[in-house]
Amino acid sequence: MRVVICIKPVIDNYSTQALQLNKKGYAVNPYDQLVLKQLLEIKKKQNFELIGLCMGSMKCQDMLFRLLAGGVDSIILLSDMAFAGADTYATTEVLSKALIRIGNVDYIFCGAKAIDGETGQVPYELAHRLNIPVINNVSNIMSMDGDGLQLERQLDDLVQEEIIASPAVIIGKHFTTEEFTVSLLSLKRAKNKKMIIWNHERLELLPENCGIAGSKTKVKKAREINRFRKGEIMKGELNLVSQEMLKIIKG
Amino acid sequence: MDFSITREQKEFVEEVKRFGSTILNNKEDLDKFSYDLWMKIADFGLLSLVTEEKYGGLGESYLTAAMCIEALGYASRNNGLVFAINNHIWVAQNLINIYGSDILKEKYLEDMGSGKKIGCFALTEPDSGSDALSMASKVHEENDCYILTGTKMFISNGPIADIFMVVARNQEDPRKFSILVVEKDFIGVKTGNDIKKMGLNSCPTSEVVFDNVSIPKENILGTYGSGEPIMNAILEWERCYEFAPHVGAMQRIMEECCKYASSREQAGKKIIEYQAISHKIADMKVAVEMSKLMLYKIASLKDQRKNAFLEAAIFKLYVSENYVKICQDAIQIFGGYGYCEEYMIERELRDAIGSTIYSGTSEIQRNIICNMVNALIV
Ligand SMILES: Cc1cc2nc3c(=O)[nH]c(=O)nc-3n(C[C@H](O)[C@H](O)[C@H](O)COP(=O)(O)OP(=O)(O)OC[C@H]3O[C@@H](n4cnc5c(N)ncnc54)[C@H](O)[C@@H]3O)c2cc1C
Repeated sequence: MRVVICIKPVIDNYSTQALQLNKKGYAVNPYDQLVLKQLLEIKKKQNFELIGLCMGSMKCQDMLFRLLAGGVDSIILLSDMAFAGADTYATTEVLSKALIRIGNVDYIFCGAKAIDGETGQVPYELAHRLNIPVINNVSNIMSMDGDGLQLERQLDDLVQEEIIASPAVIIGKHFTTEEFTVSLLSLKRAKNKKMIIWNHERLELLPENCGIAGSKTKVKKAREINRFRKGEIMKGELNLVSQEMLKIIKG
Repeated sequence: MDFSITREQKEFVEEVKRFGSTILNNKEDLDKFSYDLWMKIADFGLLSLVTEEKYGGLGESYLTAAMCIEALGYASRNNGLVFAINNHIWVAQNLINIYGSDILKEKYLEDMGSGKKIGCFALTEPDSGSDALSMASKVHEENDCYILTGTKMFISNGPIADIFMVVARNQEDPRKFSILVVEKDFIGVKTGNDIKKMGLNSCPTSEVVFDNVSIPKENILGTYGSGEPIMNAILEWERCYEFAPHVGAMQRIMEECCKYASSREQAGKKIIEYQAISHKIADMKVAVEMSKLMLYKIASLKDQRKNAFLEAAIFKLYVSENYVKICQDAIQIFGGYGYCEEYMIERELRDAIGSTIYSGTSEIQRNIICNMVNALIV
């Protein structure tokens, strides 16, 4: 069985590296991170090929290399100046071509949205371009064996166990900022795993259909809001703290 | 000597920092040894950094190991646990890796790398510390074994250790010494209770008594009576690698001072703008950089299988004294807050002070340095 997880790189504002070690770089989008964690957990028990697919700059390689050490079998990085500035339409143009090129993919996993773009459109557009079904609101991936993919979907106040036929795009509902640890031995072994880099030529794409040129939307202007949002840490007895909070909320 | 960091070394260092800061910094683990953390450290691969690959190790260079251990000290403020880790690796596990026979390697290395067996080094005695060679512990040969009798003192990891590297005087020729590999379960081995110390409490320390312990002949480093040069080599490893994390710790404390002094205002100015404060931070940076250079030099000499006894004494002396000074200066920069437990700077000082004593006091390092320099000149 062949499984692809789409990984969006986001600016790292939340990992240990960023918060405690003062090192800014790229991190896996937290929604993708949770799906990835669940897949890696299943991979310890069940055998399937897991490919990470990422469209981003070459600077994402450090982040992606860690995923190889964490258990992903191979990584395909779609990197090209022509891909820069893509909206969801141009992004899925590239991702779908890459998925066709990979071939024989049973399931494509995505997080519900990226914490920077926040559109949540990519998985649906991908499914549309590939003409396969979408399964959304997936809260837990349970197993992936001969019977197909088993998962849980969370709908308002109901959790439903489902078996999903392939092929399909699967969308994780929740996110995590909790990182996984990678052992030094697996880091060393990951050197033998593959990181493949594809550009527009490799995917037989015209530059005018990718990136900013191929986008249907253009950002005209952006302004920051909530920049100076204030926070307060409340310590003490839970009861007293909740009463205090209630007072603040009520004004 | 080329110390430019390779891509692989950078990845290792970053992973160690990530591991240390996420897993090893819980407040509740700071004052007692945690087996749970120990197993996590082993699974992560830290214990096996330099062990040969055929015994489950990573077979990394000593320079890579130095960088990783420095990063560990930087990322984790659990200085006691870091001390326990380094005791285990450098004065127990790696001794078998270097000086042990194939039988000893087969017997112990995998279990020590996977965290199942913890090691320690037993040299000091109640009446012999700085003058270690005046030790009373003795060993003699008897048919197919060695018989060991003696009492060792201040043994780091003592209460939790499964394997003790014990130095003892040969009874047949008292000018000679041997280093025996003793298991906790050998009859006649007794470990005392954890000695309460002013710091490093997540590394338990105790007295260990060897009462007519019978040791199989294969459990020896080198040959019977060849212990003294090996003991000197052990001290060299210890003076380098047990002090490598302190270089990282000094960097961490310096960064904390920078952040605090850049946010604390007095009399309308950030306190870092007062020269009395900024010069302290500058001195910290100088100490960190000089220590790093010496650490990498020693590690690189060890990769070339060269002797670094003098360099290790210089490094040990410089790092330990600057580590204590940096902690004291940090308390001064933090003012009253630095003196309070909550800010954890006073804890750093309590942990640091031991470094001027263990592995040979500052006075002894100065004696070594002067003797060696004098021997070269005069
Ligand atoms: C935290 C900690 C962990 C330790 N872990 C271990 C361990 O795992 N294994 C182990 O074997 N030992 C261990 N030790 C013991 C340590 O190595 C000794 O404490 C140290 O070598 C000093 O010996 P001593 O305490 O007997 O002091 P002493 O030798 O009695 O020294 C007392 C004072 O006299 C000075 N002095 C002594 N001789 C001279 C001299 N010739 N010239 C100038 N000054 C001199 C010393 O510098 C010191 O200031 C540990 C100690 C500590 C504090």
